Amino acid sequence: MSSVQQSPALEILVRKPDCFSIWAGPPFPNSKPTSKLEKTPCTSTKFSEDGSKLLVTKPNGVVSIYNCKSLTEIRSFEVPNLLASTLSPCGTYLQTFQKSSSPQEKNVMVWNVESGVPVYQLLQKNMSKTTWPSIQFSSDESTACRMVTNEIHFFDPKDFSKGIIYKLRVPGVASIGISKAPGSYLAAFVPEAKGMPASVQIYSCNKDLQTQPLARRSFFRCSSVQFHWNKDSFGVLFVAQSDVDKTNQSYYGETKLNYLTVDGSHEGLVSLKKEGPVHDVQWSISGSEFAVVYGFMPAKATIFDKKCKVLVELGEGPYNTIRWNPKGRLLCLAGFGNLPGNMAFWDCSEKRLLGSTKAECSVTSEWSPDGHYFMTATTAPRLQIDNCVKIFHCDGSLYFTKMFDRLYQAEWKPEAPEKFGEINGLVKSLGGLKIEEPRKQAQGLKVAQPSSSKTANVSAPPAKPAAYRPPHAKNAAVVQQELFGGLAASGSGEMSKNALRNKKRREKQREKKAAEASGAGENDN
Amino acid sequence: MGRHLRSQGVRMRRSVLMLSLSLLVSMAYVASVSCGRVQYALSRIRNAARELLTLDEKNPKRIFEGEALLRRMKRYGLLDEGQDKLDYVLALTVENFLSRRLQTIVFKRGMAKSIHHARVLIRQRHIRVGRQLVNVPSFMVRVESENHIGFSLTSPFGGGGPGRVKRKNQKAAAKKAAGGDGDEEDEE
Repeated sequence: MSSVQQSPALEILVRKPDCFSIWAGPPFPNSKPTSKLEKTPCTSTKFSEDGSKLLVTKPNGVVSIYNCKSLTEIRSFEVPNLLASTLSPCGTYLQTFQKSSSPQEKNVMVWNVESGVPVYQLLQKNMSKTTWPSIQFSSDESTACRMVTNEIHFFDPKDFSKGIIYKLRVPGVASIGISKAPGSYLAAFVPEAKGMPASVQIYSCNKDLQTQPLARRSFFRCSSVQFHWNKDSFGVLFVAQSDVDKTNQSYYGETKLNYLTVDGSHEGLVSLKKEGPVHDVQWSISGSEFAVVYGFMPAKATIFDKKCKVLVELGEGPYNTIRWNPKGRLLCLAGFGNLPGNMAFWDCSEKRLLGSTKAECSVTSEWSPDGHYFMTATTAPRLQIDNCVKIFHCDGSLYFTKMFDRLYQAEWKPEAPEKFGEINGLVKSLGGLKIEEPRKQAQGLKVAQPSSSKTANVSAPPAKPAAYRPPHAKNAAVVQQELFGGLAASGSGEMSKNALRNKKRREKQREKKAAEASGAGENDN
Repeated sequence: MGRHLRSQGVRMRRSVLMLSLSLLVSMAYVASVSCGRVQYALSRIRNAARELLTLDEKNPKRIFEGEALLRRMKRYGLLDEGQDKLDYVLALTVENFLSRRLQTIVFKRGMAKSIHHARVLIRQRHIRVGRQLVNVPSFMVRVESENHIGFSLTSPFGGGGPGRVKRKNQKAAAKKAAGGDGDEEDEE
């Protein structure tokens, strides 16, 4: 057994059409990643949330579970007519959804991965975004629940054979979110109905305290809700989206960010200084602050603490994504999707911009579990060309890039951030870097002035592209070469384009005059 | 108060006519009377600011009253944190005032389906600011109370019991289920 001090190695999963492979993570020896697991056929792959197991769906409805430490297959399940499958957060259970061939057949099955035995089955007619996975687990698997019409059923995750332990009646519930860790709270969303406003209510998962919601917030103008629970379950941030904007400011509808704490200390809108949609909101890994990117472009970014007070204002820019570093202090603001791909790396505790760079056309972006690297990937099917993987250092300098013909998925193997050492030394040393040694990572240097670190680490933005001139334009070099190539070589030499043109015009006029004169002379005669 | 308003009515209507067409259209939910009321308040504030600006910079009256005026404007959300000069007071418009009414704020915060719905909700005693139930659509909301606007605890929207109509329907339904046809016809 390795000692506690030793950090686990990073791994990257790369999935191409029909097969996937796992690379040993950075730092790469010889600037090339080594393959830990060679190409294995698959149709889809997914890690469990804690990174201990890997779910691989093979063609013909075969689901394999791999142990991530040894990268060997533990178990394989035959599931005919498989539509979807998912692992529980700790990797203990596998849920599969099959297309039901007969109305009576129970088409959602919960299997125990270790033993391979199905522990629970139920019937579900269809699958939608809010109803899959059918049984939702908290991150530590202490609670499991399922949403049905008007009720929420709770199970005991340790022993599914008990069946439904208790039921919670919430009339009209449309979507739920369990708190992550500890999993003792449940947020339920009830949409608008017949004049009654939509509401989000927090219930306790403990059976005895379930008569009344712990906290509740009602509002109108909302059609769906996304929940973001805090790490220590202090409160839930939810983004209420509506498809139609009643204030007539946006075609895409409106979004509002609300915050509901379990103890009732804050319930209501998070006061945002700029009007416009909420593009992204993320809790930090420690759970004591969250960052929001909001407003019409250029969007504003702000960090709030968990009591909803403003901590840091990160200015404005073309950003719509936030990625917190798993080690907590760094933050990447990025503009992906329909934005050009600017990325800005901030150190939040010192409120300093570490670096900024660009990663065009990225689809996914993720920090490495140890916080040293940031990987962006351009994947099919959203983009069919320029599929690539790019890995940056935490200050924005590019470390590694690889192009693919077609890339479907690229992600880090999840690991708990506590297993890795702090990156304080790394950030300090970045401050002391000089311009000619961008990658040297000396330890123990004092933090230098921000200006030098900024200039050292900012990778030059690509040069502004020259204006496009069609080939037939007079000033195009090709045309010039054709017209004046000979002339330029012979005598004119340093003449500018305009000068050449004027010269040509003068010569033409001279010829014309000469022709006219001679013509006139002939006519006269 | 009524007589005072009526005599002012002529003056107000004339000044309301001076309002830009766009403002009237966007604030069409606000009666021209309260538009005029806001204009009157705004013109008094502007006069005060203008008069203070003619005084010397170090004049104690200018300092004292200027600070008080700026503090009031900031408290009601008409001026931002960065705007701390009397000149900004002169740049205030009727729209700034109208957007601080409880009716607009209830709508903007998503607590009502439309701006007219907001007025109805306020008037029908569903909205509270802090702990106090507010029944007045033209309530000027202070910046610190803005986050404490919610449905009142006794309102059916905010967790209280069912409202009058629903209770009546429930009673009628219960009576119908228990009593039978004869009793039901007597109930109105």
